[in-house]
Amino acid sequence: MFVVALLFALIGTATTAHAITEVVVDDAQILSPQQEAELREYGIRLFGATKAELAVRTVTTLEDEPVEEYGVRKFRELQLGDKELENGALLIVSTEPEGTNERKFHLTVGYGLEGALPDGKVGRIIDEVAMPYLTAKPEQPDLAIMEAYKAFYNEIAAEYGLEGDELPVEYAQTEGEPGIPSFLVVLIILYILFRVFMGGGGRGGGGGPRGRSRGGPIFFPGSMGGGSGGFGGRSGGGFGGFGGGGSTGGGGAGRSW
Amino acid sequence: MKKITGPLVVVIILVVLAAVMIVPSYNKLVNLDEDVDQAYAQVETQLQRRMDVIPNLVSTVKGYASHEKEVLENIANARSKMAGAQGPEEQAAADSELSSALSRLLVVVENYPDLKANQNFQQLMDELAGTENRIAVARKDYNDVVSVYNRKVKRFPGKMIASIFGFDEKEYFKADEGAKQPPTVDFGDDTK
Repeated sequence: MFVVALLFALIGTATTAHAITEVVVDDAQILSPQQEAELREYGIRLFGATKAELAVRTVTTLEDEPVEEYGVRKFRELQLGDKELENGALLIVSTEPEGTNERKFHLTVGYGLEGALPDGKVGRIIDEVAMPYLTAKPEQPDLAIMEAYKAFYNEIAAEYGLEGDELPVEYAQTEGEPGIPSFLVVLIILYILFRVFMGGGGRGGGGGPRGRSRGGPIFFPGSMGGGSGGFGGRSGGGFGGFGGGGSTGGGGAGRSW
Repeated sequence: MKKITGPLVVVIILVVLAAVMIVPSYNKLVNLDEDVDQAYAQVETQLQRRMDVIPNLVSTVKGYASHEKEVLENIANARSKMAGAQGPEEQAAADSELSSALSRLLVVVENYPDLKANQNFQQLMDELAGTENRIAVARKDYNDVVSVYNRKVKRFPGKMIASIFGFDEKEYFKADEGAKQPPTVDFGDDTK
């Protein structure tokens, strides 16, 4: 009788106190041990403050399974996020064997985080933060994971009102997609010089172009060949998520690289 | 006295036996029925969500490709058919029609680099893709519970209880296998 009671008590604690799921499992060996440790630190910090879980899994191949399905399956297997809040998100990165399938970079979002990370925003973050690293030469998938993780982290932190806890996201400084950006930069500099000389130097010269273009991995280099700038965090609003049902309904977005 | 208690005991035993057999089975059916309804509500929510994304998408596309009338009309038609569809089978059919209309849009879009580069368009495409994935997940979840439910309804003793209490077999949400796949866009030769 006592043994049975003890058993029940043990089961009780095991199921109610949801421990954090392993933050990162790098089967594809993309990350260095330091990077993994850094991600773990972020993941545990986020979990501690919000009960939200942001996990990363890298695989060498998805074996032809669509990444969306794989993401949902894995997400439900891992039961990411709090049971009530369903606030998990899972980043899947696949490095397929050379020249076989499309490599994937996909975030699956749990019901409870659909407000913080709507599909459109996830797609944009991947485009702006991850893709430049993934399409750089040489590719830097490790940095793509690190920086995208921080960007997702910031969105979740903002959703929970952790304003002071933003991680600085470093954007890739691509050396220009063939020709066009540097050509533009030259044009703009010429334009500024033209203005300065013709206008009698009324106004101070403007800095270099700092904009980020959209719709492709074309980035204007902030300073040619300079170190990376380190933009500040991003703000994010959104509505609260809705609960009920499974752990994830398959929200999220991703890209091939 | 003994003559009365004999049959009475038998009756009581029969009633208890029947209750033991029927009640859990009945409750199980009620629960499953509820699960099916809930899963179906999820499918409908996601179908609705897609219907909500489409007008925004169409108006964005119109801004860049207003003369692609046929494609846009097909989408509008499929969407209104979807709105009028009732029940899993009709909805599944309307859903695949809408999917193929949308996939034709994606092919057309390839001819408009400005549109593809439009941030708003890209965001809507992400929402659409995410919603399609949600539909796929909801549909699979629904079909899974329907299969559990139907098996229960068709087998003994569930079958008996189902026929007494009027639990009918449920329809699956059957989609074209083709519609499940994201539309493939050929970047090489996109003539039509």
